[in-house]
Formats: sequence, structure tokens, C-alpha cells
Amino acid sequence: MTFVFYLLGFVAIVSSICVVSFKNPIHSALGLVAALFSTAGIYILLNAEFIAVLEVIIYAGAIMVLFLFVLMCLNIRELKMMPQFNILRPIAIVVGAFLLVYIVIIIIQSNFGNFTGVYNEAKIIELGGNAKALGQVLYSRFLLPFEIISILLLVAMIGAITLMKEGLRGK
Amino acid sequence: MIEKLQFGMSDFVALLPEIILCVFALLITVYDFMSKRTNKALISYMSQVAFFVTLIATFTLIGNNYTAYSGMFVIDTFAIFIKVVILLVAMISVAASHRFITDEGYESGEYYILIMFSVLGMMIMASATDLISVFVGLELMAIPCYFLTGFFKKQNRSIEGALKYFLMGAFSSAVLAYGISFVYGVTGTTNLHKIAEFFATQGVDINNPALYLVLTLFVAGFGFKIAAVPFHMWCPDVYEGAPTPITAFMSTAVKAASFAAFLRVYATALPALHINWAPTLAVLAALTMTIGNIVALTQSSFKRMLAYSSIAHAGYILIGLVALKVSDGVASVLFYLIAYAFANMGPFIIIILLRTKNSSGEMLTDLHGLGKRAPLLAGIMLIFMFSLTGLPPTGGFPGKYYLFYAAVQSNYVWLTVVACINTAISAFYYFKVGMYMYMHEPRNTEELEKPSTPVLTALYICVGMTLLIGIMPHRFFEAAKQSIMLLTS
Repeated sequence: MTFVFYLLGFVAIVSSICVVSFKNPIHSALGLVAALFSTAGIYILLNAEFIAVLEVIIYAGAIMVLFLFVLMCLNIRELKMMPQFNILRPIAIVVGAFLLVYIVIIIIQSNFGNFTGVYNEAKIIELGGNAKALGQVLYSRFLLPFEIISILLLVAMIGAITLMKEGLRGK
Repeated sequence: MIEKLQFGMSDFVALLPEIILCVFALLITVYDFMSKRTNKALISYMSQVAFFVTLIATFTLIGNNYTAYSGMFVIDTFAIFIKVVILLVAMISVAASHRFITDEGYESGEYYILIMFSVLGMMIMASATDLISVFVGLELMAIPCYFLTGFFKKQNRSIEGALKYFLMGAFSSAVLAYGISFVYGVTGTTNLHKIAEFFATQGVDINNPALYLVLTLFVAGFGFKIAAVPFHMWCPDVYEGAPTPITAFMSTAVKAASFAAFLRVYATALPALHINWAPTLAVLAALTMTIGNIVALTQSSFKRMLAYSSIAHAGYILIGLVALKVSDGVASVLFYLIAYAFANMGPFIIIILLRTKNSSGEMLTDLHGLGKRAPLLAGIMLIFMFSLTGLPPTGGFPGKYYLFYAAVQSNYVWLTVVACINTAISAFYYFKVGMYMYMHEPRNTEELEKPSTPVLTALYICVGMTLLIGIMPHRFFEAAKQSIMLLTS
């Protein structure tokens, strides 16, 4: 189990680095698919099969297909680095490396509480599976955030349409 | 045992203002879609009605004090106070946008709808007592703002501002979410009261570095929203690129809501860690004030100068967070938020009124000789500049007084000294505006358009409130004090 976790984690990190460093956006997108799949694998290790399936269907499936469609429609071969980002690059690398070391040291030294929530394994089996348990939490304890997110998605849609449609005086 | 949906009348009542606003926003969305172009001017008035009804619903909830939705949402006087401020600011912004969008050649329907949804997110933030609801409220506030910033999609700077805001905003939200995950890892809950309970019963383990990481990530996440140095880089470009009424809206309402969430998280969940985070926030406050004010001195665009001045004001308000433990610390933040909201919206409305055929009204040179071109506007502008500097008889003076007094009480004398020096620096550029208006000859002699009634009303409300708060600050301060009684208990 531990070995599988480290393997998946390694794949996720390497493919994430690929996403940001590849010049061809299609390659980046494929790197993202690999990263999402390995994250889904980690969810399975955590006994969260339902979330793993969602991750694969929604992110690695639907959203990635959209990405690839857009990339192919625009026919972008290679992205050039913008000059204003080049100036900041050394500073960004130093700050990013510092933050990485800081966070890693802190995570290694911290002690996190060993909490078991209401939904332990026995409970989930009793309820009849992950999906049901998740649904129950979403529609009871997390009802309000759940509803707000539905409005959030609507707003994102309205906003996207606003950005795309033409103004009063046409072109 | 199955977790049951707990939804009763009290939950419904607690969320009533938000539900009303949401229903109005959805109906207006449908109306916008169905109506003809000529009828769309009505949407501005419809959104005013929506805000007004929501405001009344918010007022009727005064006196209630309970949590709803399994501890996700609270209705208390603090939330009501912030919501009233946000709704007033939204109404003023909508009034100030009258004809602004269509004059620039854009359809205005979605503009008002996005403002309404953004306000909905702010209201949820003001009431959120769980890190999850804080986070979704924050996103619902921020996402419409990204679109509104880029609303003038044929102007490069509007698009540039929107893109910067969106990228940096998404990044800062991720930082905040990462911080929330560590809070959950340490305490096993995201509910603010339960987090405080955890620290009260288990004690604060100062050897647990995860707590420092939480504080770092929270300061970065919230610091971005309130544009505190060093998380302020996006602010000038976004405020300059956005449509002017949206700049006014973002520099006041977004700040008020973000400070409300910031305050509630720190005052309710993390007071036990006050020793650890107060010095960091004090340094951040000093940096924010100083850099904001010094860079504002060098600007040639008035809109950009106001952006830096709003960064500096976020620094002043942070003093109140540092002085959280003092009895009037939080009240002074609330007081400053209202005083600042009206005084800061005013100059933006004047920028809107200064638009002519050949100039955007945004440069400092557009103010040259305003005392001769439009004596009334110049006089009003002077009042706003007095208030932003912190001079009597305007709201800025008692606002600064209460904040600085709270800092002295909590033994942050050095911070008060820095803040006083900063007030002196800020006087330079605020008075520069007065000098340009009265001691220079007009460069642009074009006749100003006759201002429309809604915009003028918005301006008069701003100036009226600025003077009213300055003349009788006690009333407002008492209201602020009463509204925080139950925040930390």
C-alpha cells in the first residue's frame, strides 16, 4: 500500500511539473491527464472510490476533452514565454523554492490530530456505499455551501456568456 | 443512525435576505434574457428595488442571534452591520453606473446581475461561521468581480486587469483552501466555534509548526482580498482597468466583506493564537500603509492614486485586527469601514462625472481648475479628501482616532507612530488634489455634461454620510460596539 501511494504521488508530481514546463500545450494537457489519474488512484487508496470516479469522469474526461478541443480549434503549436515573466523568473524560482522547503519542513515536523469522523468504514458499509454517504453529508450538514456552489456555477456561466457576446453597437 | 437534514423555519428566516436577493437576481436574469433591448434600462432600477427589499429584510432580522444550517451560517448583529454597509455600497454603485455602461457601448443587463450575485457572496461571507462557507462565499463574491473588471472587453486595460485579477485571485483562493485543509488536519473541524473550542480544551501546542503554516496561508489568502502589502500587486492594475463604478464597488464592498470574514475567522476561531499572529499583522499593517502612501505620491492618474490610497487604508484597518483583544478594537474596524466606504466611493463618482468627449476624467490633470469649472463638485471632492486624510469634521477623523487609540491600548505604540507619520504623508497627495482644483488653470475647458439624477443622488448620499459620521461619530460607534458584543463569545 505504502509503495503504491509513493508511486502514485511520484507520478502526480512529475506529471504536474510536465504540465507547467512543456512548451506544446497538447503535451501539457496530456501531463494533466496523468496527474489527475494518479490523484484518482490516491483517492482509491483512501477508500474514496466515488470521488476517484468523479475525478476521472469529470476532470480527466469531460474537462480535458474540452481543453483539447479548444487547443485544436485555436491550433496552438508552441507558447512563447512573455517577456514580463522572464524578468521575474529568478525571483519567482527563489521564492517558490523557499516556500516549498518551508512547507515540506513544516509538514514533516507537524503532528496532525488522529481524527475519526462519524463516517468510518463500518458506517459507510451500513449506509450502502461511498456515494450514499457523501450524498447524505452534502444534503444535510453541507446543504448551504452545496447550494451556494450551484449559484456559483450559474454565475460563472453568465459571466462567460457576457465575455463572449457582442456589445450594443455590434462589431 | 443517518444524518438527517435539519431544516426548519429558523434556517429559512436566517437566510431570508440572501434568498430574496438570489430570487430577484434569478428573475432579473430571466427578464434580461426575454426582454427587448429598449427595455433593458429598467434592470438598473430593478436591481435597486432588489437591494432595497433585501436591506429591509436584513433590518427586520436585527435582534436575532443564532446559528443555522448545522453551524455554517450565523445571524448576529455583526453580520447585519456588515450586510447593511455592503448593501448601501452596492446601491450607491448601481446608482453611479446609471447610463455608464451603455454610454461606453455595452449591454448592461449582465452587469447588474453580476453585481447582485457578488453582493450575495459578500452577505454569505459576513455570516459564515464555517471555513467552508467562508470559502464558497468568498468565491461567489470574487468570480463576478473578475467578470466585472473585464466588462469593457474592447479596452485592453480592462482585459489586462481582469486577467491579472483572475489568475492571482484563483491562486490566492488555492492558498486559502490549503490553509483550511491544515486547520482541519490539526483540529478535525472547519467550524469556527469548534476550532476555538479545540484550542480552549486541548491548549495551543506552540511546538506544532502546522499552526504557523495555517497562519501564513490565511494571511496570504485574506491579505490578497484586502490588498495588503506584499499581496497588493494586482490592485492598481485592476482598479485602473475596471469600469469606474466597479472600482468604487470593489475598493469598498469587497474590502468590507473580506475584512468581515477575516475578523470573524480570527476573532472567533483563532483568538487563542493572538500572540502568534498579532505581530505579523502589525508588521503587515505598517508595510501596507507605508508602501501604499509612498507609491500614491508618485501617481499621475487619479484613479491609480486612489487605488494606492485604498491599499494604505487597508493598512489602517489592519491595525484594528492587531488590537482585537482591546474592547473597542473590532468596533473601531467596523466604524472605519463605514467612514471609509462613503469617503472612498465619492471620488470615484466624481471621476464618472468628469468624463467628457475627449478625456476619461481619470488623470490628475483633469482636476486642474475644477474649482472654476464646477465649484460644487470641487467642494465635495475637498470634503472626501479631508475624510480620507482624517481631518475633522469628516468621518475619517474619528475613524482614525478610534483605530489609533485601540492600537495604543494594546501596547502597539510603534504602530500608532507609523500610522500617524503615514497620515502626514497621505496629506501630501490628498491636498495635491485640492491644490490642482483651486490653484491651477483648467487644461480641459470642455463643458461638463449635466449629471443625471441617480449619479448625483449617489454623490450626495456619500458626502452627506461622510459629514454625518464626522459630526456625530458616537451614534455610529455605539452601533458598531453593540454589533460586536457576541462575536468573540
